Formats: sequence, C-alpha cells, structure tokens
Amino acid sequence: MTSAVSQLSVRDLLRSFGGIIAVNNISFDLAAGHITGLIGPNGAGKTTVFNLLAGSLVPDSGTVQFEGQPINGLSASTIARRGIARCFQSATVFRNVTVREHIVRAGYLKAIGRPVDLLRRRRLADHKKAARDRAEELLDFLDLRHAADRDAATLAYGHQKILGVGMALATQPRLLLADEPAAGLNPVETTEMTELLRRVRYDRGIDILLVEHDLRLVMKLCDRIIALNAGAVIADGPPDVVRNDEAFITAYLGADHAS
Amino acid sequence: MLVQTLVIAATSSAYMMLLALGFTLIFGLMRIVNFAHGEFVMLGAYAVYVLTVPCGLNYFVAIPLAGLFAGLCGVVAERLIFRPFLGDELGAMITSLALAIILQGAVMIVFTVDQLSVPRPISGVLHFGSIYLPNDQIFVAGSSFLVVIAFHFLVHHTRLGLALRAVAQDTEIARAYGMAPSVILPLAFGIGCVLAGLAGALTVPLYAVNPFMGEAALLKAFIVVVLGGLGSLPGAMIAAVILGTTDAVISVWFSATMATLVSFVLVVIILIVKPSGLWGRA
Amino acid sequence: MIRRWSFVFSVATLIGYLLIPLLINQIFYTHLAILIGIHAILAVSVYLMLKIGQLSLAQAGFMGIGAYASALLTRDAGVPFELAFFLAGAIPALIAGVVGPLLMRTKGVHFVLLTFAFGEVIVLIFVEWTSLFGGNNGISAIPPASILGLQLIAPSSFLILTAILLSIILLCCHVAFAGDLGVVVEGLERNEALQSSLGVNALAYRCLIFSGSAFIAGLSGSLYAHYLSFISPEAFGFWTTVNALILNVIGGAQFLMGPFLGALLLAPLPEIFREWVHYQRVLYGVALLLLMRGLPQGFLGLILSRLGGRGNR
Ligand SMILES: Nc1ncnc2c1ncn2[C@@H]1O[C@H](COP(=O)(O)OP(=O)(O)OP(=O)(O)O)[C@@H](O)[C@H]1O
Ligand SMILES: [Mg+2]
Repeated sequence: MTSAVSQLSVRDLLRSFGGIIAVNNISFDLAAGHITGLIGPNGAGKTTVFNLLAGSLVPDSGTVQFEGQPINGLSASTIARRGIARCFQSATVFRNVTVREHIVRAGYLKAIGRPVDLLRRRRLADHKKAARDRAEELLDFLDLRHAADRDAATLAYGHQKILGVGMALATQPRLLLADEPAAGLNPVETTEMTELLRRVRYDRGIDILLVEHDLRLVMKLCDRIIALNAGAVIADGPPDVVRNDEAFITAYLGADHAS
Repeated sequence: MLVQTLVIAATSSAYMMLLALGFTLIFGLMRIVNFAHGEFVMLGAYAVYVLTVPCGLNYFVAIPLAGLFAGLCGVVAERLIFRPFLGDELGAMITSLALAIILQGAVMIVFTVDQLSVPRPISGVLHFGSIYLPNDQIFVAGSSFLVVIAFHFLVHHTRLGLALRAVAQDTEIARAYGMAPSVILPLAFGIGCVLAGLAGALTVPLYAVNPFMGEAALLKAFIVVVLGGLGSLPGAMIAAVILGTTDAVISVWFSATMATLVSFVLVVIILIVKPSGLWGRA
Repeated sequence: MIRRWSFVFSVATLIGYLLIPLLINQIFYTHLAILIGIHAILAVSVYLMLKIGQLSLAQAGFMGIGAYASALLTRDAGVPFELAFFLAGAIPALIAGVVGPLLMRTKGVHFVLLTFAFGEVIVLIFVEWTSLFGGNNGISAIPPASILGLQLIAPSSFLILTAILLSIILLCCHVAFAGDLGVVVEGLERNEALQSSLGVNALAYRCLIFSGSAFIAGLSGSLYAHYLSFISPEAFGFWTTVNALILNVIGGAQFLMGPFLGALLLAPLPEIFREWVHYQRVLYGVALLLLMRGLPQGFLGLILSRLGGRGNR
C-alpha cells in the first residue's frame, strides 16, 4: 500500500431519499497519508456520504473502492473489518462497564463478528488478549488513564467523545471517518480533540476523513478539503485554495450566514 | 358477476379505508401502534346494538352516535392512558394491548361472549337486467366513502387538519399555528377512533357482533397500513383499494382465507422490496 | 452481592416450583405447575427477542409449529418422542432462520407488525390445510411423552420433564448471556449502528436470537401438545403471544427470571378462578397498565431493588 495508490476511491456516488437527492454523483479519491476535511452547509449530504462509505446506507448507484477492493453494497460490519472505522457521538454502549472495558470490547468485537465465530474459542481468546494489551496502550494515547476504571456513562461529554475515537481506533482501522468530532465541545476540549486527531494521523499513521462545522479546526488540521453543497462537490483542494474559492464562499459561507 | 365483484371490492375497500385511516392517523401523529384499534371498531358495533335493540333507536340515527361514542372513548384513552408513553413506542404498544384486553373483558362481562345481531335495516336488491346488487352493501360502501371524503376534507381544508398535518411533521410548527399538541393529540386520537367506531357501526348488520371481532379488524388495518406505509394517509387509501380489490376478487373466485393469505404474501413481497411500505418515509 | 442473591433466589424458586406440587401430590397443583412451566418457556422465547430490543408477535405461531410437528411426528410417523421433541424446536428454528433475514430487515414497529402478520399466517395455515393439520378441529389422540421407553403418563412425571427442561433453558440462556453473546446482544439493543461499525454483523446475530427464540417456543409447543394430547389452531394465536409478553412485563422483562416469575404469578389464575375469566381479563389489563406506569421493571425489579438496598446497607 504505497501512497501512490489511492486508498479510497469514490465514483459517481448517488443516493436519494424520496424526492431529495442527498448525494448527487460525487467522485473523489483519497490518497493514503492525509487528513481530508469534508465540509458543507447543513443538509449538504456529508453524513449521508459517511453512511454510504461505512455501509450504513446502500448507494443508489456509483462505486466505492477501498485499497483497490470494491466495498459499495457491503454491510457495515464487513466494511469495518476491512479497515474503515467510524467514531460516533456517544460511544457508551454498555451498561455499568468501565472505560477500559469499552475499549477492550471495541477491540475484540470484530473477532466475534458472526455468530459462528463464538465457537472458535482459541482464536477469540487470542484476540481478547491482544485487545487488552492494545487498550492499555490506547488509554495512554487518549490520555484517559485517569478515568480507566470509571463507568463510561459517568464521563464528561468531552471525554465520551474521546472514548468514541478510542473505540474506533481499537478496531485498528486504516481510515477513520469522524463526523463532527468537535460538535458540542468547549474551546479547551476542542483543542484536545484537534491534537488527538493530529496524533492519530501523524503518530499512528491512520488516515482521517473529517466532517466538521468548525472551519478553523478544519483549516488547521486538514491538508485537503472537499466542499459539498446540495449533494455535489463544489470545491476540492488544499485549505488555502478552497478558502478563496468563489463557489465555496458563496455556497458555504453564504448559506451559513443565512441560517 | 363482474359488477357484483366490483361492488364487493368497493365495499371492502371502503371498509378497509375506514379502518386504516384512523390507525395510520394515530400512528403518524403519536407513533402509537394502537393494538386496541379493533376494540374501538367493536365499541362502535356494540353501541349500535345497544342503541337499536334495547333502546329501540333508528339504525341510521345510531350510526353517528356510535361513531361519537367510540371517539369519546378514544379521547379519554389518550388523555388517561397513552399520554405518559409519548415517544416510547414499545411502551405505548404494550399499553394499547392492555387497553384492548380491558375493553374485551369489559364487553364480555356486560354482554357475555355470545354473538349478538342487529336486524338488517336495509334489504332488497337492486337489479339491472341480470345484475343483482344487495342494497345493504351499497349502503355500506356509499356511506364509508362519504365518511372518507369528509375526513379528507377535514384534514385538507380546515384549520384543525392543518394543525394535524403540522403535528405529524413537527410539534413546534403546530404550536406556531396556535394549537397546543395537548389539545390536538387527544382530538386526533378521537378522530381515529370515530373512524374505527363508524366502521364497526356501518358493518354491524352484515356481520354479527362479538367480543373477539376486533382482531380481524385490527389485522385488516395492519396489512393495509403496513402496505401503504405507516403513518401515511394517502398510502392507507391506495393500499386499501389495492387490498380491498384483491380481497374481493379472490374471495369471490376462491375463498376468504385464500384472499387473506394472498394479501399477506403481497404485503410481504412489497415490504421486501420497499421495507417502509409504498408511501412510507424511511 | 445482588448477583449471588438473585442466583440463590432463582435456584430456590425452581426447586420450590418442582417440589411443592410433588409434595402436595394433588393432580390439580401438578397440573397448575405444568401449565406454569409451559407458559414460562414460551415467555422466555419472547424474553429473548425483548433482549435485542424487538418484540416478536409470531412466538405463539412458532409454538404451534412445534406442537403440530411433535404431535404429527409421534402419532402418524412413529418418530420416538425424544427425536420429535428436538424437531419440534428445530423446525420452527429453521423456519425462523429462513424468514428471519427478510423480517429482520425491519426493526421496531415494522418488525412487530410483520411478525404479527406472520403469526396470523401460521394459524391460517393450520386452519386451512385440513388434510394435514385437521383444520379447526385440530389434532387429538397425541401419544404421551416418553423418555427412553418410559411413558410419562402420570402428571408428576410430566412435571419433572417440564421443570428439568425449563431449568435447562434458563441455565443455557444465563450462560450464553453471561458470555460473549451477552456482550454482543447488549450492544445490539443499545446502539446497533455503533456495534456494526465495530465489525459485528448485527443482522446475523438478530437472526440467531430470532431462531433461538423460535426453537424455545417450539419446545413449549411440544410439551403443550403431549401434555394435553389435543391441540387446535386457536391456542397459537396472537393473544397467546400477548399473554407471554404480559408475563414478561409483570415478572420483569429485564431479567431472565422475569418471565418465569410472571408465569408463577399469572398462569394459575385462569385455572383457579374459572368462573371469573372475564373479570380476570379486565384485571390483567388493568394490572398491565398500572405496572407499565408504576413499576416498569416488573415485580422482580421491585424485589431486586429491595435486595440491592439491603446489600448496600
Ligand atoms: N434517512 C433519511 N431520510 C430522509 N432524508 C434524509 C435522510 N438522511 C438524510 N436525509 C436528507 O438528505 C440531505 C442530506 O443530509 P445529511 O444528513 O447528509 O446532511 P449533512 O451535510 O450531514 O448536514 P448536517 O451538517 O446538518 O449534519 C438532507 O436534506 C436530509 O434531510
Ligand atoms: Mg450531518
């Protein structure tokens, strides 16, 4: 997997809901080794693109390739096992379960992805052990060790979102889809999240596709930006170029001011 | 034979529309799957029985009264029973099951489980040449369609209807129209139950009355609404026509059970292709 | 602390359930206990689906498939009871496994409605396919259960079979949910999207649970058929599933013992107060309403919270 091969390749992706075309023939390639920002006003279709990439939605037409393999039409769990992870707003799934255990479980659940896997006890035991080790390392990486033994549901909102990123990382992805990771965070937490994402990219070598309304964060973090409006790509390039793109300014900032 | 089949199809479509419109209205607005819907049909039927047989009232006067009675019961049920479960689909569903059981039990206590019947107020047949059309079926079909038209008018041409449609979209918008959901929701529930009660009242002379009659009505409402898309009024009307016609044709040429089975299969196939139903929102 | 208490409580209840009727040694109490057991097993099958956050109204239909399969296999095909009993679980499980991927594409309300319709179809088939299922008259002269050549004709011996089976089912569910399956299932109920994004094939697991619940429902049907030696379609309709659901809600649908406790409390009522059946319906309904509002965790929730409170002190 060299950086010359495009890691994710999206071709003519189309998805509509009833009469609304949420994603209208979008194409882009992501080369390995980047943080890419996907921005656009409310309802532009960003979350829909994520859902299509992650397999939560099936496209009406178009193809998605990940590392040279077609993944469109595959189920969310299969895509996850292929190496695309997604971080959720709130990741506290299990009742009365600690932060550490959340990360451990996120790390080995793919080893019991299908019911038959439950029978392969040895393999599962190995995966669990590896997940435990990884969880310890991740607790340090996320700076959550101080909360490791707390019930995850009692975490502050900012830490819950960090846990969400941590659980996604526990699956050992090669591409991370982050939908508004900084939404609802205060400035301090936003800075922490920004730093965390930067370290995900540069210390761990995981590529990121990022949806975020906080444009400052996006401009600071991303080395490429794809701007959507009404389901179509209206600008694509390095932050400096997109920032001054006319279509982008009118569509995005115009709509943003209006709302 | 063809014309008779058509009349049966029209009767059965109209009856299904009455059943399904109320059911889907209640779901669309409150996300309550009302398992007691069939029991409101039963209430309408028993009301007609009480008003005409022991009280000796004219059947045609009894029909609207029965509808109103069912509606009133609906308003009370919404206020007393369903209110705390707004937004809790499973809770509301179980609650509606409880209500169904209570209504069934109450009817059994008062009227026993025996079949009751109401004398046919309309008899005779119309015939054109070789075609015979039973008057009572024409009456059921005609008045059901009138009720559906009235309901349609209510929803699309009155302030209340506007508010109803607004609540289905967003409670905040409804507030902007100056109608609080706390007024609209019981009203809507009541209207749904009026339709159910009328369905029961109109068909009393055709079928016998018993405490278990709700289940068949509920089943009809279910498949129509699932086919049309839960919560969709136009979906319910079109699905009622589709299913009513299939039902009539197959009942006439084969058997009633065959008709039910075919409707099920039809619904299942459509749902596999489009899980949210023909007109449903995802 | 609560865990140990609830385990002791569960085992004690099960032993009491088996021993008390045997000690009293009156047919009526044994009869009640057998009915409780059969209802409890059906209620466990509903519980399994509630565990993944879905309500299936087809469970009584699966029970019916098990009952008819077991009855016909032993009576007409000469299959030994042990095998027929297993098939009574396996056949509905297989059917659920086949229709599962179709029905399970939907969730929540749509799933409830589809399973409702599916259950009605099953009953309709029993009614209509008279040559095989005997129509509304049902099937009679079903041979009694027999294990290793030993005919379980005496109610007390049938009660022992029922109690052992119930215990095995409860134990299996307990062990399964205490392990990795429990982790997946909790995730499915709480946040399926996230669970999928972690690599879990949610649909496959939901189908597994659906199939397992049909298996258990089928077993309860077999017990029912061989105990009464007579079955007819209306026993497997919508309201039978609803009753099983009520047992869950009243016992406490959060707990594995909930359905059993619900059955202990409610299943004897219709037998004891035969003349009051109609009042009972109203009472059931009112109890259900009040519990939904006042005690959403059921009676077991109440007991456990008491025990928990004492444990803390
Ligand atoms: N499940 C759905 N059913 C119907 N319409 C949908 C659905 N999901 C999205 N849409 C519609 O598709 C369009 C794009 O929505 P999407 O959520 O992708 O936008 P977004 O860019 O993520 O917006 P936001 O910034 O508000 O998160 C919107 O018009 C939305 O209403
Ligand atoms: Mg979004």
